[in-house]
Amino acid sequence: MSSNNNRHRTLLRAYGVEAIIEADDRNIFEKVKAVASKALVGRLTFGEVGESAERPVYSFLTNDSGTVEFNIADVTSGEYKDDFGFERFLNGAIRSHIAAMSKSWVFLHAGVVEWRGKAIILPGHSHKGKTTLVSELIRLGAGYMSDEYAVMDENGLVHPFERDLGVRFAPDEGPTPVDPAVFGGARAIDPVEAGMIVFTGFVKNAEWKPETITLGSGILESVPEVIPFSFNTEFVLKVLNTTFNRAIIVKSDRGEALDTAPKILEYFDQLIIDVR
Amino acid sequence: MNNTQYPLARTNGLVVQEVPNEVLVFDMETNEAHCLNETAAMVWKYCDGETSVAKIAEILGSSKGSDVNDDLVWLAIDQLNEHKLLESRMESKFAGRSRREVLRKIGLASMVALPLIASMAAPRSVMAQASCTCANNGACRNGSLPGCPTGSCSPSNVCVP
Repeated sequence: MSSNNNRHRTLLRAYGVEAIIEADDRNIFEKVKAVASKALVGRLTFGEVGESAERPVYSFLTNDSGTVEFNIADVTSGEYKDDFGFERFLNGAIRSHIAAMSKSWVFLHAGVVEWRGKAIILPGHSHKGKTTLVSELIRLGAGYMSDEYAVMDENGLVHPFERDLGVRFAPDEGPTPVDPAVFGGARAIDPVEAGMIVFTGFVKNAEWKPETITLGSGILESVPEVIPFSFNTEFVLKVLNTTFNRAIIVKSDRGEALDTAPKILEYFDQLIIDVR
Repeated sequence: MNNTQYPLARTNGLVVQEVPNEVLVFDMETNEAHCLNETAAMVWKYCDGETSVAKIAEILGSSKGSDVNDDLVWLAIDQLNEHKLLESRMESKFAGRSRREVLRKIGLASMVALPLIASMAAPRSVMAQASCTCANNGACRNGSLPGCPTGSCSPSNVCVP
């Protein structure tokens, strides 16, 4: 085991959160930095650690047998020898930790596209088909914002979290990164207001029959998808209130994404016509 | 003061956010979020330990321009009890009667929307809902870890979000 003096260290800053990355192996250190950059879609900086306040540490230390013992901010820990698969694990762990610890941003598990200058937010957990639906929406011309998080600032604006789409080509496979351009879609760059929040899940042979729900119900429905709701509750509730208050909130089962995507966009367009 | 007639809302350990016509309450102790509709929210608002059930019914009625029976307030209190939103539990006026029976009776007589509290549990863990991350490498084997869908384990048995 190495001494503290031999450790490579850097201070990661992202979304108002600071964490120290440390490793005793230069290659692992650089690799972790690269994974962090990817995990946080480049929205981070690395700097000097300095001597100030205590911060969470992402630690990677190699023991005598060549096994790497890792600890991600005391939230998850373990060891690995063969790093096959570890990079993807680490990507998710860093992203989750930053999202969870941020006090100035709200991360809602959701697919997000930009349409007519507004965000259409599809809250939902992993493995619920939101990437499939998002990919169909961008195939129809919607701008790609995220298939992972709706990232909201204190003013209720929705920011892109534009990682590649995580497409599962088989139910038992992990996600493969796919550039939205493959679906003919462009990445949205600017933050936008929310236009529609859609709570939907795949049900075989279901039809898209959206029903509007109240603002309070919409916020309540999103609670299981906010990271983490109980950590910064007052701020989260305020941001959700501000964001969702500008949008129509609907709920419906859906059938295949291919059939549902055009109906979602048509529904949104009709809302705009009705408002005018 | 008779507790059974003067309900007192709980305030400790709650985060409250008012939205138009509803109130959202997050209970830090139970880790649950509640959405009170307008009627439930108004009853809860007047549960100050000094306003009687009859008086709350009167206030509710005058704000809605309609007569409100005490039973409607009791129905709200029942739900506030159920969701631990009162300082101390109150004896239900409808003990022994089914919720459906009570709702039918009050619903038919009332011009005011019935009180309704919807709830949702929030994930407790920092990482839980964000990923199915394993506590230890090797803990995840073919999705056997709760929260890990099949196929989310990497070949080295770490759970891939």
